[in-house]
Amino acid sequence: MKQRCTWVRNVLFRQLWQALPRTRASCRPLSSLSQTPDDFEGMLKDPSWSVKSLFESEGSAPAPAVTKTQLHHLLRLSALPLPESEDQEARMIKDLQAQLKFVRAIQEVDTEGVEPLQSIRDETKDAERENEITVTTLREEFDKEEVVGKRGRIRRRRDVPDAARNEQANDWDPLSQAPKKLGRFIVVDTAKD
Amino acid sequence: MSRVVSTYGLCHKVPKPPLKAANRWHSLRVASLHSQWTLLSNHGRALQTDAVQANDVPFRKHLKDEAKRKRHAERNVKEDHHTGSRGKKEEALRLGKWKLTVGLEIHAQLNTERKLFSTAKSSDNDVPNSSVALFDLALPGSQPEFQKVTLIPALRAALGLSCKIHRESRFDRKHYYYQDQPAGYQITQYYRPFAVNGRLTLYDHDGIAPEDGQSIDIGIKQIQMEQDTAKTTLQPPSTAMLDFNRVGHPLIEIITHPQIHHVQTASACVRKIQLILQAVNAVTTGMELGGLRADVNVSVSPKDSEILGQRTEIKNLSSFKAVEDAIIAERDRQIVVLESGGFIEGETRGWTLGSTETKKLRGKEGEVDYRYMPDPDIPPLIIGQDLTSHIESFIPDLPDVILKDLTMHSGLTSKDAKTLMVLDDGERLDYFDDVKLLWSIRRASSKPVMDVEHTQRSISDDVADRRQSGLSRLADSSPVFDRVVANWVLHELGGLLSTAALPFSPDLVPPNSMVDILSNLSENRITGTTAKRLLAMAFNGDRRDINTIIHEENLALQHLSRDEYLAMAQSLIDENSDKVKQIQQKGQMGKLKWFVGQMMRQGEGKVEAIKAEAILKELLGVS
Repeated sequence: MKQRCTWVRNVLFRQLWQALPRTRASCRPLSSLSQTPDDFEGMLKDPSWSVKSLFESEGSAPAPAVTKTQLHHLLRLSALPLPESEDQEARMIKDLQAQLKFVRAIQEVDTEGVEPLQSIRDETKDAERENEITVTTLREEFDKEEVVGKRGRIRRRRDVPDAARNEQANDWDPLSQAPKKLGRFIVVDTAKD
Repeated sequence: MSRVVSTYGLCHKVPKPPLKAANRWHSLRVASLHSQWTLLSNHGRALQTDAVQANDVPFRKHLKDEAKRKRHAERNVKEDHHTGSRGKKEEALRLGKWKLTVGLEIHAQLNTERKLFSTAKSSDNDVPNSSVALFDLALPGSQPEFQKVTLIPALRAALGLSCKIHRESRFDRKHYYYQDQPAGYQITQYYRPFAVNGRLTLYDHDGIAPEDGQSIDIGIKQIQMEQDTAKTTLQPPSTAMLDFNRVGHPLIEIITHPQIHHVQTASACVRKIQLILQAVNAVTTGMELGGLRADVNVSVSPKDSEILGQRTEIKNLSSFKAVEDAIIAERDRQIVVLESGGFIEGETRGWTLGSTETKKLRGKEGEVDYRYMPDPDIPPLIIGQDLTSHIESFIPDLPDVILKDLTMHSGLTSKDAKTLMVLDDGERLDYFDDVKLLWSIRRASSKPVMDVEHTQRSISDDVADRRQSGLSRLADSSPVFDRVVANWVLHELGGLLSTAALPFSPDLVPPNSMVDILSNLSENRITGTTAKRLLAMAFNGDRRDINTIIHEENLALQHLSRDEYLAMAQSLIDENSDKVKQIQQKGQMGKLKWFVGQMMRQGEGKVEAIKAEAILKELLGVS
């Protein structure tokens, strides 16, 4: 019984191994690559790579340390409070440096010729054609205008009712969310604490 | 509560109650106001901006100041040679060692119905916080939705400034924290704006510095679309009252190349850009009403150096005079610092009206890192070529084209032409064109038949024909008559309008009536005084045909016979023998004019001054 289960597991592992895509990230040297693919169990028993390797010290000269001034500058840019004790500050700097190391490791990936991803959206030609703004797209808007006089002056037609002006301004009340208000204004205290 | 109302009313004039007038006046005023100025808020309150007469006064004053400045400049050149005002010369020498370089960044509010990324309607005089979408307040989960209609005025502005339009452009986030920015970032176009490489030519009649000669070309680096922030009213000491109606309203930022080297040219450039934007209907209001703002980058460098000095930025200048004064103050400050051996820091400075020096707003320590990043929620903006071509072909005549036509073909002075262009959103100019054309048709129709065809071609002007070389314009332009039309449309009609405090409308004095008055005047059937009277009568509501009025009220210039002139002159001479002696013996010709005046008064509009003078000279035996 145990043998049969092992055999099933080995078949599954073989199929999994063949199905694994060869990604760039997996170009890291795997210590077990020299072993035959048959020995899945042996291969998967010990981890061959760990995310921790991204945080360990690099072989070449270590990166410059993050200074307290830099830390305070970054915290101010992010509207975060400054550290309350020396201890907390030291921990923040240590964390930040480890994170920077991680970022540097990511930066080592070769992206020559690859366009940066700006957003996850449909990038096909069809989508581009659909998103293109043409005269037809704006036909309704052009029909609301007229040319007057002999100098080509453009102006909004006066016989067409101004739809935007007449429609209900809000279907919700912006002031309902305000913690502090004065009449129809939302109030903010700008004094520095 | 009253404090709130008064601070709310800060940016807009306090509404005036409508004039108590006869029904006809009232309905006319309401009709013309409604179409031009009235904006009904949610509560049905009509808020009117009394900007009509206020608008043309500062502009015309500016033109007068320009003319005065030019005269002074010419006079000073002569004076300096004679008196050698040493203080001024020394200052000029000192300034002469340095070269000023200025770059402009102009923010203009676009003329659209909706905001840039939300369907909320763009409001003007509405109740505070009444036109705010969920995205405008950056409520979690709200998404931007690009409003395509905002592209129309943006493209018009870009094409009016001769820019190249990028088919594909992107939106980016510019991060900074401030109470008027709910999202913590402003959506702008940093990496790839929608329009680049424009240009603008400034001429000497635009008010550039005399050192820049007859004309100067200023390059426009780029134009980008971005969001506006909320309106903050500060209640001292530290309370800010926020109105989010304005958040997300589309703005365009026009960035020029640093090619301006004189102060006057800088303010002329801002003025010209505003004029162009208004001509293509891209903006709602001008600088005076807060629709346009300028940020200025100033640096100085040694006169012959090719390298530009370190620049500082002066933000939020909201009037043309502020632009000039701020540049002068900053230039002087930088020269003082550099001459005393210091160096200029790249910082942001502020200017308040009436100051003598710019004030530091942010030093290097407080320098903001905007962390520009492409906005992942907004797909790229794709502008079709057909749209660009369509808008370009229907672009209105630009100010330079209109000015050239008015001064060259219609013979107007530069000052009159500029005033005519700017008044009443272009309605005054349209009225002028109508009167001018109508009169030229009348003149032509009284000519022999072979000319009628020629004029009929000019009648069938339509949009496509406008594009042609101005032949159509020549057909109905004639300096002699057009100058008369301009004079009456600008000054006579203008005078009546300002006395009655009415906004302009082409229905007040229909073009037909105006042409009737002017043609009767030019053909000497009525005197100038009578013509003015007729104009006032038509203005005040008399709807009778002008020729009928002349006939019924017996206003036609009846040419007095020579005998009648002699009789009148003789009686005056007999009554005033002492004055006669002064003329004949002492040669005081001024007294002759007095006699002429008396004759005109006695003649009740039937006496012509030239003839009267001739008769008097004859009788008195002087030449």
